[in-house]
Amino acid sequence: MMQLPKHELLLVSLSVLIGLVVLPCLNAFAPPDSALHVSTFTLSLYGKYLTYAVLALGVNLLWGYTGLLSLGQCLFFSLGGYCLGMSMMMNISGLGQYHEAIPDFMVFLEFPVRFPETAGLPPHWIPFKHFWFAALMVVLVPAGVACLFGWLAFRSRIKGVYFSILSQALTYAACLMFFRNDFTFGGNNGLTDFKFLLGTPSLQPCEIPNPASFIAELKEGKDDVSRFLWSQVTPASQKGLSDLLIAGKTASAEALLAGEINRILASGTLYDERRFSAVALPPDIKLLLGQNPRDTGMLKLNRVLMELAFPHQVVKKAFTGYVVNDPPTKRALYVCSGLLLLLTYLFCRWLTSTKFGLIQRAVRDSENRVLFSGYATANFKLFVFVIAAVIAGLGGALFVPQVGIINPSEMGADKSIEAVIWVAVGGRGNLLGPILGAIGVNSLKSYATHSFAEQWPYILGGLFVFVTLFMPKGLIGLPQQFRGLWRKVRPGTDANNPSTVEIKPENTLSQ
Amino acid sequence: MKTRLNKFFATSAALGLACVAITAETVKVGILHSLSGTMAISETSLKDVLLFTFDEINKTGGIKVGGKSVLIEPVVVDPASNWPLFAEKAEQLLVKDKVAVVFGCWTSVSRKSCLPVFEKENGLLFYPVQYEGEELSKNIFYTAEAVNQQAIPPVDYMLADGKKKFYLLGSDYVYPRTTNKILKKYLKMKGIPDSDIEEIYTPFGHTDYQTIVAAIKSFSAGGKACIISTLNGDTNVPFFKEFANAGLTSENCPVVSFSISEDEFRGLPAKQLVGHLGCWTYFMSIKTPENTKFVKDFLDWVKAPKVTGVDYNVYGVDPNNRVTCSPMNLSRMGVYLWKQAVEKAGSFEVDKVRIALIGQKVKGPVGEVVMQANHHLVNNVFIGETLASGQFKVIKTFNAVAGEPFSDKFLGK
Repeated sequence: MMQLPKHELLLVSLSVLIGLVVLPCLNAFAPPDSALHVSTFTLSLYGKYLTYAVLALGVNLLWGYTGLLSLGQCLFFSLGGYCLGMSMMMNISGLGQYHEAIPDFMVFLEFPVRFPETAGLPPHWIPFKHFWFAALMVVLVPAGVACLFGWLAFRSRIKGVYFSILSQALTYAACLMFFRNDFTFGGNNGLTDFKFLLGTPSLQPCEIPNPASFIAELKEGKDDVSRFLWSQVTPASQKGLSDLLIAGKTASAEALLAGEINRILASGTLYDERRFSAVALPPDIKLLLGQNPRDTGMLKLNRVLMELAFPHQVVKKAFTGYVVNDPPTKRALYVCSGLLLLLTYLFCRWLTSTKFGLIQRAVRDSENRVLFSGYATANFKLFVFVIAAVIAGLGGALFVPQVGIINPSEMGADKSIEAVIWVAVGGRGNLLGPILGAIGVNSLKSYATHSFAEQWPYILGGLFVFVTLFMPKGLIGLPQQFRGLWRKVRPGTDANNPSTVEIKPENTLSQ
Repeated sequence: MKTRLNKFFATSAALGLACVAITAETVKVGILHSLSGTMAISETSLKDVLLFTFDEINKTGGIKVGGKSVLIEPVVVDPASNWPLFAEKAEQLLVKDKVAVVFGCWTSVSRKSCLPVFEKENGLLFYPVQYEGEELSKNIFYTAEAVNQQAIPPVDYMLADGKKKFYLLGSDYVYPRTTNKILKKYLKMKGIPDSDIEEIYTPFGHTDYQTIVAAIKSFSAGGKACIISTLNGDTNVPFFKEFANAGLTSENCPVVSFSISEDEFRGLPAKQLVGHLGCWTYFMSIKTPENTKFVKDFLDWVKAPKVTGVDYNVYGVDPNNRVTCSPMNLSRMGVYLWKQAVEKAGSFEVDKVRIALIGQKVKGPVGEVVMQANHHLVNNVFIGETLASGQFKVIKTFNAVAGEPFSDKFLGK
């Protein structure tokens, strides 16, 4: 059973209370004009920092506890992000620039020509339409890559600075690979313009129980809405529908018709005063129409209008997804990030307090001795490396829906080094330091890039130099450092005995 | 004593004036350009020219809305060439600072990153850099050159010049890919067979152009070949070096570059590019009274940069070797278009300004620009030949070319 020191327990409980309960409540319930209100923007910003903190905990598990300085953790962070991003891209529901079912970049790179049998989708994208698959991949892909790379590296006894350089090379190579448009992950632009998360706002939200009679009704054009809809169905599809019905392929006809109708619904406002003059509209819908909603709002409204216009022909499937940019979704994502951070923290706390954690630190301090004691250190290191990759991947998966974009530059060499800097600033080799570092440095960066747009690199750079030179234990080590200084200046203490006074950088610093 | 009193009065008067100037009504306007990171070298110039334009407008009384004069107060942020940070900073500008409009972005990926934010918050963004099109957001106005304004004219020029073979060379990202896709279709329409079109992409920062230049040499062996280059940034240096080493010149195989403007020449050895071509809607060298004034005013401004009338200190303006270029001109045109639309709408409200913007005309340094209903400009297009000074000599002008973002509109499906 792990034990938390009292002050740490207090600090963690307080943070959980404020971060996971008070802030989201203030966002949800405080009126927007009150001083207590926390804007969705601020909440989402902190959600982003929390995912960074998760990444930092992974880095710390490797660097602070095992002595492995990986300069490629952002690769795993991005891989997790890409997996979730793919699932969101599969659910854009024709709301992209081209109003097609497949993501925009696949349209302009002419994937329908390259992958004709799957309507433009590369085969490995298809399973990502299921959220559970994407969620599984968020864990498995980073773990798999880490396992392969770690196995090769640790088996060959690559350590120290060579391991750092190799991990840096790995992420850079992946970055270049993802940059290539042929690699089918969106190239330089990556994945962006997400619409829905979780569940599938199905591409066929309109169920048509009896397509034959519905098509007949549309063809007949009994009212303005029918005439309008039929005029918007492409001539090829009109012919296709007739052919399919003649051939008795009702299911295919339904799929084709539903596809056409959904395309029409996504392409613009369905409502027109004259067109709907014969349809009785309830007052709440009239109110919504006056607001002229955009994007997903427009789509939802169009679907309701369809149901009202054709009450016997159209049964709408329940909309099960979440709109990524809606404040409640953003709030939920923030809470998830907070929970993930809490769980990661508890997991790391548990792992490092077990016997395993002891060996971990022994590997850090003197790997050869552990090796000669009969432990297969390579396996220990591989395990920690994989765990850290999974942690990074989970963080990345929550990062992407909150910032709205994932692209190869997130795998760039500089990003992973940044993550190491957060850990160094916060203080490595303990669990609160990296969290403090990630949130602190990124808050400062957000603030400084806005308020000191021209000078912020000097401010942040200065901080990093200062911390490295004068605060070897980071921000979290400050109290200890001050205590040491205090002992030094206070007369009557054992200032002559340097071992109790001097702050020794851990021997891993030399790596 | 008298002089001292005079001085006292003069100072208090000046102080009073200063107070009045600061308390005059202002409107916040966002600048979203990278001031650090890889894109800073290009984007800093746009920030400079925007501040210069704000100063120009404030000096002449600001924006006239509802019988009042409103001065522009810049809010400059640094998205640091970091694409997620672009979205964050855009939201910060719209939600926290409540800016009336944002001028910003250079790369397509940065624009794509902000687009959902501008749509969600119903903001207004002016985008000034030549791009691939295939996008139309009602919250973005693209003063940039569309593909049919920057890529089609030089190809027409090359065809008229008797060129029969086209080598399309670009960096591997969206802008070159899309531009070349459109050009290939266009060339086919003009009767160039597939075998005479070559399409090659290199990664960012690629330095080894030996094999590619060798391929170009054999491709252009029979003459009548040209290169359409969408190579970006510093990759151009090794390419043009290798090109010259292989004995290729603008005489036997001209290169048309879409991504090199006067501003990029500040960091490139212009000597190796002499005689090659560029195509933009503005060149610094064009001699009109308006352009001469713009260039002179800007070069004066960078020596003592300030924004008149508002409490804002300008930092980080490099006073040496400054030039003007097309993205800079288009940034400035965007500000004037927006100003006129605000004055016409009588309000800073995005929905009103957006409607008022359509049809706005501004007499720019090199001709009139008109904002169309498709959020793109009608603009004059120039083909220029590179000189050793890093300037362009105009060799062909296309008047009033209407920008069109979607290629199927000008090529047909």
